[in-house]
Amino acid sequence: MKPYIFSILFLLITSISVAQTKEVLLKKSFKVDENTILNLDLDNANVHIIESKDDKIHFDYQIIFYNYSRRKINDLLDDTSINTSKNQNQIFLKVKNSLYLGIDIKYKPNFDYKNFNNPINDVYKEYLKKYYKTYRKSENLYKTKDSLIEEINFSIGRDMDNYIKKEIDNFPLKKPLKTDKKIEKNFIIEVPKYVQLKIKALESDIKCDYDILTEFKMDSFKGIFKFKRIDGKNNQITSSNGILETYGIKNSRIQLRDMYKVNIGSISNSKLKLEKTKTKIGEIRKNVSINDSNSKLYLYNFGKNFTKFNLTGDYSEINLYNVKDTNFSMDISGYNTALNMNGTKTSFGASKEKELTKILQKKKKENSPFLGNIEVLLKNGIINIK
Amino acid sequence: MEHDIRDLFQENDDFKKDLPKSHREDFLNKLNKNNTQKPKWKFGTAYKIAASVALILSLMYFFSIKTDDIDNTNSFENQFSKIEKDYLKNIDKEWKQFKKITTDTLLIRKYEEKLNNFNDDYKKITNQLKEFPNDINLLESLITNLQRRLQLIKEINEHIKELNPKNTSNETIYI
Repeated sequence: MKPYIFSILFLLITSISVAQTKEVLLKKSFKVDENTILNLDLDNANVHIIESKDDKIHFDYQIIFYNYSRRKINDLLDDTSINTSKNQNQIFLKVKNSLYLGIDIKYKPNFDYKNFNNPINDVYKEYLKKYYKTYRKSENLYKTKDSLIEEINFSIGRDMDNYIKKEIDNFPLKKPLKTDKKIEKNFIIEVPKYVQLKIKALESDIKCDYDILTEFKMDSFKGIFKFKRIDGKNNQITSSNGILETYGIKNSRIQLRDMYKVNIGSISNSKLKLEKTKTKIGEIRKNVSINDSNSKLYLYNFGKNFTKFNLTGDYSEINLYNVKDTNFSMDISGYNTALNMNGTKTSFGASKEKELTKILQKKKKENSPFLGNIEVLLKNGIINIK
Repeated sequence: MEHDIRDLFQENDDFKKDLPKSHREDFLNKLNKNNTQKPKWKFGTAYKIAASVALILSLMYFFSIKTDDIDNTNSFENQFSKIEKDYLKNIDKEWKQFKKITTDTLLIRKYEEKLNNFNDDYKKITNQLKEFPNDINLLESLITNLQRRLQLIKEINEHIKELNPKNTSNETIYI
């Protein structure tokens, strides 16, 4: 009889949910120098990289569980593994979280999935309606480089989440539902600016709070990535199925596939290879080329002396702004391509022979400073001149 | 210096190494490894006893809960399966339209691959949901998956339709 009494007591004790439980998973520091490379291998982790003020890398990982039983917390933490090591002058961090550890809850609105009739759901539905009506309408509007950077600065990733973040104070029922089980991960890595970063990330979110001036490499699948400037030499970014936002990027080779959102404040001396990736660029500067398949590109501005910009695309939609007023020259050729300009839609070169047709030419103006030349070659594309 | 812009397509061999086709698979394999890990029970026999007690308590709870709670659960499941059904119906409709309006077999193949990837993800999330029912993040992921599939096909259909406007021209526009 005794074991059963203990079992019942054990069950009751471990099932009691406490409102908030904080767990410290990692607190460790490494001394580094200017030749150190930091290798991050992240799996379902949510990492915030900030500048270290001493010559050390500091790892500080905490998780807050809301309304989870002790037993459940232990189960989840059993599936989490964290390893740090140092080999020669390289620091390695490998983190794998349980798949069931959710991501940042800061701006999540309440939604009662168990009871669809809960009035709290009407508020969320109203928000959805408003979002689709207003926020998404602004998608095609012109943006300056600075306004796009401001947008990136505010952003937490998905447009819908940004909308909620913006309107959260007007959210009448924003208190968490009592039954809501939520997990908040706070993983802060302090890194001296001179340390080189190499990142491999799977379903992980990374936010970096300083301008990266060293060689930067990142290979990712899913996840949300937000950086200030990426200004080192020989940077390489290969990402798919995620969100990437940066104030600016230089000297990079970037391959992006099936990304849900890419916002770049300004770009120079870089080559982009894109596939099915909605990309917004605030300002294109010197030596930029894009090879695209099936993406929507919003190229808002061209910088002083951008010199040349090449774009080739297949099933691409290109949006160019202030074309008439800006002093660049432009040649657009293609076949089976639609041009939208001055409210008129015209189709070019839809011949069976798939011959290239010169669609549009813009010559430079003599009376103002010349910025550079744009060459566009589109197959099965759409070009919107605004 | 002037040059033939048709050469631009040939010039883009700078990315000698393509985004590997296995990029997604590599990551998903890693993900699968995590999925297949069995939960570790620390408490052996004691846990088994506790589990049996839990089962009895759950059954007691099940028989004591009010009817409206059952209705709520059913309501949730019904609502969700309705949402799922609506999305799948619309995705299928758009897909049929896509195949009707395009002759580009390469494009169809690319989109088939993308939809298959979405479908694989959906199955994985559904399996996870069985283990963690009512997990908000998982439920959101399922709905987002359906939304993105539909958006993917809708966007390409709109694109193809826009390629065929009423006005056609072969004369260069100068501005």
